Amino acid sequence: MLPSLSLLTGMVTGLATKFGVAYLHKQGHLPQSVYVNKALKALENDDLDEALRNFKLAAAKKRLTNQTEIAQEIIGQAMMLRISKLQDKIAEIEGILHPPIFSLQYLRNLLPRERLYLESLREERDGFAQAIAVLERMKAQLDE
Amino acid sequence: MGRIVKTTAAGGVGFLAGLLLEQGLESLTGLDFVDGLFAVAGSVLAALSVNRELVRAASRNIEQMFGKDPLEISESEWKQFKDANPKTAEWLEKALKV
Repeated sequence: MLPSLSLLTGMVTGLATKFGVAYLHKQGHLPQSVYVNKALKALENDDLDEALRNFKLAAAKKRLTNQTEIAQEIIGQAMMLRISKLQDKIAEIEGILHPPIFSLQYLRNLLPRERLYLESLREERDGFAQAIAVLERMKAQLDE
Repeated sequence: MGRIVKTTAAGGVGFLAGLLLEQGLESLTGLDFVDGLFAVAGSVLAALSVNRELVRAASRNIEQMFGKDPLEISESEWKQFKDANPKTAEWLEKALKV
């Protein structure tokens, strides 16, 4: 039993559209605004990797428009804000790890029971520093 | 009456055959045929809503930068934002007719 002509036409159209759109999307051939929109949505979900990936696709084939440049600035600022927050946290941790001599914190840090806590703070600080390095690399990629 | 029954039966068989074929192809290829059409429609909608998304994203950045609603920031805070993000600020001024 053969399927009807309309069903076949629908399926062929659907397949062509599906493959066509997927291919065009992957290659960065869709309108810039599509990628910019996706990048901004990703930014809203705090997904900077996805935001950067979509921005790069937006800029891959076409010259940056005013809208795309603004999106670039916004994504870049979101990265810088995150870096700034992480730097604040590192400064806070450094304040605990290296307090002024003769302060209460300095004396407290000498206690053996604080050793584990201080060690966990050092690990946290190193994690934040790594995150900053990653974000700075992403920012450099964004500005390329 | 017989004609109606025949037409209905043929229609039903055609529908079932089409459904089976579509389901079969979908399970074989993992493709949803309607999905492609929605992707095109989604792309058009996305293109239309970029300006709104830009305003929202900029607004979130201002909120994170100053810890308050963009409507509550002072003149000096706005200047600070403008220095850091000249293109965004200029565009916002035009878009919001400030």
